[in-house]
Amino acid sequence: MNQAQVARVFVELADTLVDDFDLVDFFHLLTERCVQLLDVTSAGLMLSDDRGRLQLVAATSTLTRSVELFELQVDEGPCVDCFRSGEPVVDVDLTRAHERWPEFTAAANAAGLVSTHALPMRLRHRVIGALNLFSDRRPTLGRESLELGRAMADIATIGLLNERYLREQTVLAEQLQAALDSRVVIEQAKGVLAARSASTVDEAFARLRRHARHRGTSLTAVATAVVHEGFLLDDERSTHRP
Amino acid sequence: MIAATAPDPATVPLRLVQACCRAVPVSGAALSLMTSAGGPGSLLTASDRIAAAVEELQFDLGEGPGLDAARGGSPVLVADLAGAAGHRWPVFAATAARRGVAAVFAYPLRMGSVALGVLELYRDRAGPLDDAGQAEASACAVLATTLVLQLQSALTAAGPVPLDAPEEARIALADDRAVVHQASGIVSVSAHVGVGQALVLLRGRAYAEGRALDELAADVVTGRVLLDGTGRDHHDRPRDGHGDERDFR
Repeated sequence: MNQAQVARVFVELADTLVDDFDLVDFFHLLTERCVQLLDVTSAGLMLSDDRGRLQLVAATSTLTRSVELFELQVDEGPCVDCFRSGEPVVDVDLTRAHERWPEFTAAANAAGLVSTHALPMRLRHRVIGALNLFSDRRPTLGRESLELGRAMADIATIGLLNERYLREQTVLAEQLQAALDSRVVIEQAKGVLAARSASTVDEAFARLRRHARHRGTSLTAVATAVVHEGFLLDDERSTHRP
Repeated sequence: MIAATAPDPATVPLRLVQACCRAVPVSGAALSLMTSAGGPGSLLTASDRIAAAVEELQFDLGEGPGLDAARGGSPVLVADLAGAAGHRWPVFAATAARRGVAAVFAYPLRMGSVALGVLELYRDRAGPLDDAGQAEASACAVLATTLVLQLQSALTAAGPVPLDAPEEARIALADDRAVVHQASGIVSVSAHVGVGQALVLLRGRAYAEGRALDELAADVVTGRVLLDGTGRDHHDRPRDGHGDERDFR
């Protein structure tokens, strides 16, 4: 790993935050880059759900049982400890961890792993998840990889925030446009009703409101039906009876 | 930031387009919002009457760089409206040129897949935007999108706003063209067409008579003009007593 590689990865991740952002793709890319940059064997990203339980959202799959190892940590393991304390849990020696986390350690040993590390994803004072790393060679993470790993965890957090922001903004955009559409169709409906009954647009609006109120439907829904579906108001039906 | 220090939220859109004019720089700028049908919707604000006219002209004609930018999702930069690029919208280009518009730069406002509207900049002399100008203009478009969504967010802050909300609970528009939409409804009945086609008929009639669309629409609404789609003009006729009895379905 060299400076140029690191810089390239960070630029790559930053770019994905902007164009056609997909959170799951982003997380997968991030875990893959972790394996490359941090000289580990596999990496997994866990996020906490509404009830404060960790869920695996992305993982590299170089190990056949890596997913299971990540999943096991939902209940016990360095990842949970990291999540609860908000502090990194690094350089966990998997040859000596049986007493602390028996089930998890047994599975890790079976997969040939020698060390594991967990780095918190922090958002101000809250811990929202953790970045989990495994190595089948190196017992320690090393200072440089630790620093880089913490930066990758921060980038993961930024990605999550970005996605939430985009989602909220998109909802607002849809609401805004729906309001505009509604204004247009209501004016159009006034015209349609006025023409159908040789009344003024103001009279037509009053009738539209009356119908909507009487039927308990929204003005916009009635207007849309009048304009686009040939819908007749109640007071039009009575005069159009064959 | 403009938004953070604005004492009156209603003036923020205007201050944004004014700041945009100074920053890019251009002669004038207008912000308009679009409906989901991709048709021009409404003018939110304009820095001067010519910028407002650029927007209004495109609504009247149904063609123009702003519409293309909003629908296509990419900026449409026309450095010389009188040149070859202007041939894409011949009527718009000729009419805008007569009003002193030499160049138009239209930046779409988008959020996700929603085409919210467009920021349109004009200059009174021809010439392209340099790199710095383009960067400024793009930044203004992003700012405008954020601002417009902030306005929407402020409306919903007090709770969900129903679609039928009264005037005060909606974003204030400089011109929402209500009379044109009403006229579209009326013409859809008199000419037995959909409202989309009715708007096309109105535009065609306004252009043929050299009138502003708003004016013709007002006459249609008051009954002074009747369009039945046959091309024959009917003026100053009282509206027929009975609506068409045909089943519209």
